[in-house]
Formats: sequence, C-alpha cells, structure tokens
Amino acid sequence: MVRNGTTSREWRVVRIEASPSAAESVASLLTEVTGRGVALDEADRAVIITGYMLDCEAGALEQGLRQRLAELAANLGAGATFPLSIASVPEEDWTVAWRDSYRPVRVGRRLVVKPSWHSWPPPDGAMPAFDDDLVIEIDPQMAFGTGAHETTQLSLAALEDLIQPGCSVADVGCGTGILSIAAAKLGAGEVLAVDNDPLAVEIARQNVAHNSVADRVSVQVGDGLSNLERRFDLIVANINTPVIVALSSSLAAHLAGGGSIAVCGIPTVRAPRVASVLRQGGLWVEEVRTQGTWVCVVAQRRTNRQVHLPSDKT
Amino acid sequence: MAKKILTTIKMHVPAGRASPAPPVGPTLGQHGLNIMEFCKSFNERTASQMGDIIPVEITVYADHSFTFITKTPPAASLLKKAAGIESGSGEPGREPVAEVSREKIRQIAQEKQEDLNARDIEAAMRIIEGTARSMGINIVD
Repeated sequence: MVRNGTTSREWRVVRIEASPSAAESVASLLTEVTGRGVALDEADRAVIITGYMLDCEAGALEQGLRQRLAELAANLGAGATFPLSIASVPEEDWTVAWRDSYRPVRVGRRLVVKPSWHSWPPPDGAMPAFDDDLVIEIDPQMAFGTGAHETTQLSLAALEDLIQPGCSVADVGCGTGILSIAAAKLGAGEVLAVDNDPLAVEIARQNVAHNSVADRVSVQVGDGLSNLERRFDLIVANINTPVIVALSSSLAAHLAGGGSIAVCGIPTVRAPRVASVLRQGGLWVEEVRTQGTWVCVVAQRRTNRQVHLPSDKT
Repeated sequence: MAKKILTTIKMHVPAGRASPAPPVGPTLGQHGLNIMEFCKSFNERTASQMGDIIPVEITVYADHSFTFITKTPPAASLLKKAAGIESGSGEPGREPVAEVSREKIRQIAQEKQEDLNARDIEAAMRIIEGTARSMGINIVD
C-alpha cells in the first residue's frame, strides 16, 4: 500500500438502504457477496448497510446485487425495496490515516501531551517548545484520557498548580494513566493509580512504563480507594458526577490533613451538587475551575490551624 | 475517567479476521479511532468463534478513545451455517437453495434469545423462521 503516492487499487463502496427489520438479512447478503464485514448506520427509520469490494467491475457487481436484493424483497413481500448505490474510494493505508487528526497539545505552563508519532520539539516549528517542557506520550487506545478532552486538560492544569515536591498522589479512575504520569513528572514522590476497568489498568501500566515513571507510579484495579488504609496529600478523580458523589466521603477520608482533592468530569450545572457533597465529607471547597462546559472542583482537608482562616463562603 | 459518548458505530465483522482494510479501516478512521488497537482486541476476543460473523457495537468517547461489545452472530449467518451454504463466495447473483430443520431453528433461537428481545422461545423461533424465509431457506420437520 502506498499512502501518498499513486496506487491503482480501488474499493467499490456499496450502500444499501433497508428497513430496520430487513437490515440483518441485507447485511448478511452483502457480507456473503463481499466476503468481508459491513458497517450499519441507523438513520431515520432506515438502516444504511455499507460494504466494500476491491478491484471489481461496478456494473457486474450492481447487476448481481440487484438480482439478489429482488429475490430477498420477493421473499419478504409487502413491497420491500432496497435503494442501492455504488461509489469508489482509492485504497489508502488506514493504519496510519486515522492519526492525521492528532496533534500535540500544550496544557498549563509546562505540560505537553503528544501521540507517539509526533516528535517534540515539533520539527516544523508549528508550536513553541521550551527547555523545561514536561512531555507526556499517550496514544489513543481503549481507555479514556488522551489529553484531547477538556476534562483531562482541566485535571492536568489543576495538578500542575497543586503538586508539591515529593507529595503522595492518588489518581482515581485513571484511564490511560495520563494524570498519574503528569503527577510524577511534576514532582510527586509516589503516585497510586486505580481504575475499576482491568483493561484501563493494563493500558495505564504500559503508558507509565513508556513514559519512564514506573519507579514512582503504581497502577492497580480497584473501586476508588476503599480498600486502602493510607492517606494521600493529593487526590485527583476525573470521572463523572454520579461516581464522584458516590465516592466523595471515601475519598475525603483518604485525604491527609492539609491535603487537596481535585474532582473533574463534572458538567458546569452539576458543580453545586459536587461542592455540597465534598463539604459534607468535611472538606473546604477552595476553587471551581472551568473550561468549556466542564468544571474541576478543588477542595481541601484543613488542619485545625487552617480552619481559622476565613474563605469558604460558597 | 469522564467518558462523554460521541457516537456508536455498528459493524458485522468476521470473527478473528478484523483488519485495517474496509470496512473496519474507513469506518473507524473517519472517527479518528486507533484501528490496529481495535483489530487486535476484536480478533483476540473472537478467536474462538472463527467462521462466524460477529455484530460489534463500538462506543466512541469524546477524546477518540473507545470500547466495544460483541453480540451473538446474526440469525442469517447462523442459518447459512446450519444449511451448509458457503459465505463469501464473491459471486453475486447466486441464490442459495437450502433447508434447515425446525430443531435447528430452535437451537438458533435459544442461542440468540438474549439479543432478540423476544419474550419466550416460541417468539424467538418465529423471528428466526422469518429470517430463514427471507433468505429462501425452507424449514422442514
């Protein structure tokens, strides 16, 4: 396969429209004819079934398909029709074509998140690079947290502001492990990443090793921190409102005196609810950060001395 | 993490044989998904079902990460197997003429009952029989 050069290979793209009840029969017919899989798009009261065939003559393909569809329509009765269209697309290297939409992202002051196929600094000078940039390499996989989403960026920026050198960090709902890797690179002494999805844990372990922070980051399967006896200086949880609400008292209990928690993945309208449950857990809400339609709520477990300071008015 | 769902993609893919070629490549590529990652996981998960067509539903999240679930093979694919009709002949225009037993219909209905949304085995059998008729397959006792 040649990506940017010339290639004579053409794929015929067959699209057939069917009613939802006939979609499976049409999908099966097209699978049989092409010898490959099909894609099914559910449109308004119809399903578009798309199949592909390499280097075949469009006329003969169309004639054969129309004949088979007519037989299917006759078997189904009740005037079933199957509108059919055939187009062509040139062959390309789909293993790399999907990567085009990914670019390095700069978050906060020093963090850069990039996929493995981009080098840093950018060779074309497309983005400014600095000597103290902290580069995190994450490829999109079957776990959330590629750096492309606002909630991940909010969490990363919060980490950059909250991490103290050598502090302990828990990353609850770690996904790809991106926040744990950032925490380690920002100077955390030890980081524990947990996720209830074993696949995410496996992916996070690979990313942690790939980013050379395995000496400070451990990853394990778990529902929140409930089975742990210890406390952390900083907890970050980029999940969603219901899970944050359910875990809040447990997370608050695992926060060391003076420690902070940053919870993300919360739509702006749910921020008051989340702030309220964090207060019920004995924490002081310090800050609500926003990006787009998302918020990150930062709260603190104050020591007795700090409690005298007035601020938590919300 | 905060999984905001962007879209859902449905495909039928031969078990253990997903590749970056169509339909997987262009279908996943247009949503910016890691194609090799999908192929690897799908083939691993369906390796024991080689020869079957597997319906797969891929959930795409806002940052282009994804997860997927696989379902039981389509009734049409199970019927073809039961009737001994070859798949992927690449010869359009060839109408299969075949028959399957009512007992086999019952087995297929049992296998697919959870995906069919049928309230009992009789209702599931009627759905499978309808698919068989639409394919020109005769049902024999």
